[in-house]
Amino acid sequence: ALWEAGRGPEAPGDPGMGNCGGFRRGFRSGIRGGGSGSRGRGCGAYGGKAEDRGWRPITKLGRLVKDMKIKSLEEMYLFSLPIKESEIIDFFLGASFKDEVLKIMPVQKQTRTGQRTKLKVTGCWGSVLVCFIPAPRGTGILSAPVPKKLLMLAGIDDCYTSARGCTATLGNFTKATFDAISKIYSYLTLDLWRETLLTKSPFQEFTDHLVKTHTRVSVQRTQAPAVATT
Amino acid sequence: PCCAGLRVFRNQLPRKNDFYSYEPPSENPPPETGESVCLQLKSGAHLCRVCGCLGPKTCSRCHKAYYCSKEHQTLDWRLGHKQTCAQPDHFDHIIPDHNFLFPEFEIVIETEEEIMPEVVEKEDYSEITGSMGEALEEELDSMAKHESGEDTIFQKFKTQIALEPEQILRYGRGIAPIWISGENIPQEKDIPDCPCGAKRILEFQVMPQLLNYLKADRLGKSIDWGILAVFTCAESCSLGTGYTEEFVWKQDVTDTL
Repeated sequence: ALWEAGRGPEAPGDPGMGNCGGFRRGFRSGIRGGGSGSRGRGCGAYGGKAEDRGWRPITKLGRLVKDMKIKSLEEMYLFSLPIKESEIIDFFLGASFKDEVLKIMPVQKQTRTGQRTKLKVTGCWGSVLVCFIPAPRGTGILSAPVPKKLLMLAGIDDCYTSARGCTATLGNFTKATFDAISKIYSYLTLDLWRETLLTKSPFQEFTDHLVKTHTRVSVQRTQAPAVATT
Repeated sequence: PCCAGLRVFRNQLPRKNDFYSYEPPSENPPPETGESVCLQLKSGAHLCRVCGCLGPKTCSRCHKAYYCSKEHQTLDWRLGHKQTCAQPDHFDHIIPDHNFLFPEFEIVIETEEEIMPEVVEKEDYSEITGSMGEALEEELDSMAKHESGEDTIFQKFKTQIALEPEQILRYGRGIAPIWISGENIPQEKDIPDCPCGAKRILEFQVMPQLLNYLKADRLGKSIDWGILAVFTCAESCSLGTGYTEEFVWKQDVTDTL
């Protein structure tokens, strides 16, 4: 068992001495902190963001982060490991988090239709359809207050929007916006294509090889025996 | 098979034996006698300076340092024996850190409290937004996190361990383990029976927090697990007097989001 790896071995053969023997672990039943209830139950909630040193990571990435073997968020993305513990983000960004509240009040609004362009992203939920259309820099977010707030939080500065359906249903309206925003991040545009080296296809490589090494050999044509066909 | 080179052995030393006292040691141990370690058993056998296993091989020059293998002799040579070997009257009681063994700790045992359903404080919503507000918030949250079944299991695991974040092992013969993922959960057929004929049942599980103490993490490949579920003979049989092998199932934290 891993955890029983010992450092200096004790000298067995001496009953009554086993002070570093494995037995102590079997017998010892520590009553720490006065038993249940006296320890604060708030230890379940992760309080205090980056200042909380009480985080015990349960993933390898978490442990590397806490041990300062990974020093930045960017370095972490190089390893393409999924971030399963929110404490990792808190560790790097803790102080800069802000809470924003989206208060949903039933107000009916008409939205303007933007110009039709090629790169549109549409999200839908229920009867509501929300379209985002790229806008030139400096336009700002042209939309109803609800998607505007969400787009701002998503870090989008310039956008036209268009909405159809019963946008008075705020739940659906908001969810449609969410849906559209998540689709934005799965869009792969040309500038995002990674540069790849254009290499020869295997066929081309082989052809080139053959051209170089193949020597013309004169083949003596022999009379092929007649093949009887039945 | 699916334990990635991990193996688990059960020590079968009965409580009444020739090596250790029948009674537990006192709660107040005697003060540590300094760094020196005794590397020779009463029987006369020597122990390896690096790992503490039987050390029948000795340094051919000084005949004072013992090892289990050439590899460990080389390790120790580089870490100090090269200097002390030549000195005529040396007696190396201080063992350098060969970075071979895991650090040693003591395990403290406690009983886990039951999870009480949390008392949720309801915020004061105005009449207009009332019930719609709360349900909407939960749904939006779930959507935003792209929650999947996998996430739910992982969150459940986190909630359970939040009662005691420092836990490294959960002991309970025959209980259901808390899985860290929906993938790779063993079926009954995956767990081999004990050679004595009885089934193997869960005895305890090792938690990932243990890795915080082993100091084995590296940026490249290194030992890692989500949980290690150890299954042992249901009859607690005794096969011989030495160590007998039991069964360990490793479940990793999934790579998928």
